[in-house]
Amino acid sequence: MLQQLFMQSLNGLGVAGILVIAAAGLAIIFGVAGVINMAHGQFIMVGAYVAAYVDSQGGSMFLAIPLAFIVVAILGLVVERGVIQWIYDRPLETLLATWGVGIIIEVIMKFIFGTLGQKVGWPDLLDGSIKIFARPPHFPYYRVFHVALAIAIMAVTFYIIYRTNFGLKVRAVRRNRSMAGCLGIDTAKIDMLIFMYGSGLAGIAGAVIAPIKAATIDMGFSYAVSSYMVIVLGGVGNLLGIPTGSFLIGEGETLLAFRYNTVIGQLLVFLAIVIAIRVFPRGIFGYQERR
Amino acid sequence: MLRVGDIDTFYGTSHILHGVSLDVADGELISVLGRNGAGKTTLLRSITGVNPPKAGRIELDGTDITAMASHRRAQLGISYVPQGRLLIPDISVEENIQVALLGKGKSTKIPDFVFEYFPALKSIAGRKAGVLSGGQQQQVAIVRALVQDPKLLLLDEPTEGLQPSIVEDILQMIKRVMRERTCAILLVEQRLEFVRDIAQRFAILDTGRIIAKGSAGELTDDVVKKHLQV
Repeated sequence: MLQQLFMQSLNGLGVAGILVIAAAGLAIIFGVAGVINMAHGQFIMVGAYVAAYVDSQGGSMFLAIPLAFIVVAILGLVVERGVIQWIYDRPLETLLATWGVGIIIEVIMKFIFGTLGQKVGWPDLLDGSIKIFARPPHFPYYRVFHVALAIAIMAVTFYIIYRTNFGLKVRAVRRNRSMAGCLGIDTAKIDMLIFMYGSGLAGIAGAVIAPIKAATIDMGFSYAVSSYMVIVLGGVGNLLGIPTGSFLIGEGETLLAFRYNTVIGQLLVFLAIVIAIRVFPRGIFGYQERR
Repeated sequence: MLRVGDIDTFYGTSHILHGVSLDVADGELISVLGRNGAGKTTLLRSITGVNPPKAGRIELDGTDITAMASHRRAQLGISYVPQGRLLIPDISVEENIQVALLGKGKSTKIPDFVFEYFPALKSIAGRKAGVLSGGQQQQVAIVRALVQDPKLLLLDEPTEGLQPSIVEDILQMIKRVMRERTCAILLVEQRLEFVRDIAQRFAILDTGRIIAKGSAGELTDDVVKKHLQV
């Protein structure tokens, strides 16, 4: 029993890794630009199709990941320049506009790739598992990869935001857009670059998720919902909210699914988040400051 | 250097400034006075581009900046110390100053004069700006503007809510800036003795219109009684 519980905890860590990868882009775009990107799920899906295309051409997932980042970042650039830049200060319009963009992306992808899902293979390197105990279940390499990639993504993002001049500008824009502009910061350019970066991360999420779920038109939806929950629970005031929210949701869902079943597990986690919002209305790492 | 020509500024549908005109020459300090709600802050926000005017024209050294984005105005030489300071609360004092340096395209090395003007800043450079006292925040806000080597410094009630010793520090600092630098200053201020001490000219705003202007010597008690007493 203890062995199984331990293995489920490790699996929960793997799920949390996926959630970090899926939620990071959404959280960064929301945290800096103030846009809740309702097309986030479709951005993930496009990343998955990039992985499917690379796979169909005999390429590795390790090539698909940077390619998905670039393709979806460019998609984000097009969406930001074409739609979002005109409506940044109107939250309701950004919700509706990104929702519409998501529908358009789905239609275009259906037109190009059809409605059938596309399988994506794992690289040979990630076949197999770590034998922690003599008896199964073992901990698959791909789960280790998810956790490692999540750590790498957070580390790179932390470095950019907290250790570079660009990150300093981003933090200034995030806290006071008009004052940052008065200090000479080109806030529109910061928004554009952040939107590209966040979109690119969604692309990476899609490329990583594709081998687990296959690339399908509606695959991004459930990950987008989970990403919104991560943001609500973790808060957007601090990047630590992303791994914290992901860890609590990933572990909660996995362990409760082990104890009961998947549906009850997800339901209980959802209830727990509702209660947590009562205690942390802005999320666990929401803004706290002396005013 | 700054020419504000007949501007009309709105907040939404509220018409705040009505045909305001004002010229500021190189190295000059002009104080804008007026009762609460007269439009003083809106005038500064119009010049910074936070609330651009819907009519009229603003020029800086002959360049039309009326429709220019705030960041470009800052890069042209307009620095702003807003009412309430508006520092970035969750980054350090040093980083707040560095943001201003980056905005002007400079390196992030903090110039030596910063700690000459306000020696106390050295000991709090690593502290988060959001936890500083009002006086400390005001000093940081002023320094943040000065490191940009402005041609025009906009100061919005820099002494508001501060203890007398800090007000005196700020007065001395503004005098020093006027002596050592070539920038012009547009100062919104409620303390008359402060204004009389440092301003060369004044303008009084009332319900979004300039109703009086003149040299500092013309800011007599009669003018104050007529236009500023509630």
